Amino acid sequence: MEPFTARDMDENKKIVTLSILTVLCVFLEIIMHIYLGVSIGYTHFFYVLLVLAAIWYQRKAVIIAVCLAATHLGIGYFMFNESLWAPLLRSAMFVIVTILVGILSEEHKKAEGALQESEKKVRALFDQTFQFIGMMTVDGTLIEANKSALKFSGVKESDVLGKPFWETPWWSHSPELQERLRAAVKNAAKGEFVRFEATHPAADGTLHSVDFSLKAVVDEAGNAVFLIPEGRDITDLKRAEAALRESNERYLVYIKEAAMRLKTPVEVVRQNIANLVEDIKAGEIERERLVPQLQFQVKNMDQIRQNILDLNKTIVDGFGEIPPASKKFLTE
Amino acid sequence: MGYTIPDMKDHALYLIMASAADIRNKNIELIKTIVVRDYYVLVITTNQLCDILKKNYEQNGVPIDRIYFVDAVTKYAMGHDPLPLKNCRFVSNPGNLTDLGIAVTETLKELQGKKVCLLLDCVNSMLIYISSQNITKFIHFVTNKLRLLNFAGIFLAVEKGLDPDVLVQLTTFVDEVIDTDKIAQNNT
Repeated sequence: MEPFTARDMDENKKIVTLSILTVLCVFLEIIMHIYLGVSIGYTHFFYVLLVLAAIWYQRKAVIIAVCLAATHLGIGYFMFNESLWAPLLRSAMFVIVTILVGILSEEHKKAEGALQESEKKVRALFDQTFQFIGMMTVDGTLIEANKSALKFSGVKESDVLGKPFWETPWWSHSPELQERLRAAVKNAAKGEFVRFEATHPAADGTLHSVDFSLKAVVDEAGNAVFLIPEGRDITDLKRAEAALRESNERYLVYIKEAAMRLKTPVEVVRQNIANLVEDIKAGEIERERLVPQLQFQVKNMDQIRQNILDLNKTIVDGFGEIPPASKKFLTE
Repeated sequence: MGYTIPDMKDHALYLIMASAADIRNKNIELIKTIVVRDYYVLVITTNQLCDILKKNYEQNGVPIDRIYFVDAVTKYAMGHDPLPLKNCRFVSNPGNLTDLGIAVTETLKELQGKKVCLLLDCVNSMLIYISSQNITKFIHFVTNKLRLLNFAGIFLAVEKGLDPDVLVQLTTFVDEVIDTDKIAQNNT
């Protein structure tokens, strides 16, 4: 069973009201028309019933109008043998007025429905967006804050609405930011778009980085009437940037170390070998001195190769996903 | 005469940069310059066998009795202990900084009371075996020893072979950095 709602309550009140008015109209018809023989004047009261019915039930109210008109017409024509034209005209008016009011009511209801739908959409956008959005008067008093902003800092509307924006929990942790916001409100009220990076404490106490902006809503004359503060949580972005920076710095260290431990040593070894070639050509070096010097250059080259593998391994380990075949090629 | 350190000061420490092709000649020229000034020289060699260095020095008229060696190459190249040489200590390999440190300390102790200059040949060949961070620490250790004992010191390095950050650190350990190629270019 569906719960009884306020809407049902309103519906019941309408039916009761219309029922009472209908009884009153019938009662008037009986007293005034049948007993007192008066056929005009009192029928003005019928319009109260018909207009209300048309406002509430639009053209459906014609049923009441037709019933009322038939009663009035029947009593006049059949009981008092009155001329048909006068009650017929009054009865026709009941129906026409009811239809006209019904049509107007339908138009009004449609417009109201569209407006409500539009408001609902705006509210949904306002509340459901991830961004923090609010609305302020031009002096910086907060008059609206969306659910995302309230939930982020774990505050209620009543805690923040009506306060200067800089005194709300989003800003109270930093006097510097409060001062910057005050200045931003002044500039935004002059029509300037203000944007800066701020920090806001979350409900768990952690400080989040926020891309904050403030812009004015202007009237036809171009005067600021409201200010719209917006905030976008960029904490993850900042973390990613810091990680990337750190990663780049780390790779720069590897690359510099590689240049020192690979490029120049290869040049040193190459020069050592070139010197030996010169010595051999000049007959200035004996075999017992030549062999260990060559052996040393071989060992140098072995070590340089090992350094390359070590460096590759470090890069591969820090690189994440690398196909196994490439990994093997780089590190073995 | 070849290259000499202009206005070489007693007890001063130098970082001398030369091209890879010129390092061997610089070693000999520097030894000659130093010996002329009555220094005893401790050569730490991580790039050439001390036997070859000795021969080169003798061929260039350097009084070999004034030269002491800490050789990190010969034993490593041969794979076994070489025959003992006068005024020479062998270290197992150029990456063994502990043994290298001990050999340097012992030799400097032996030379205490004399006018001594240390020559390290060269920083870049050590980089094959140890990281720049550890080389920096080792050079810091050696320069500290030299300053305490009031000895002079020369560290040979290949120009453009050191990361600027490492070079800045090494610069703080010595009194002067000399780029021999720049001097040669200026002279021409």
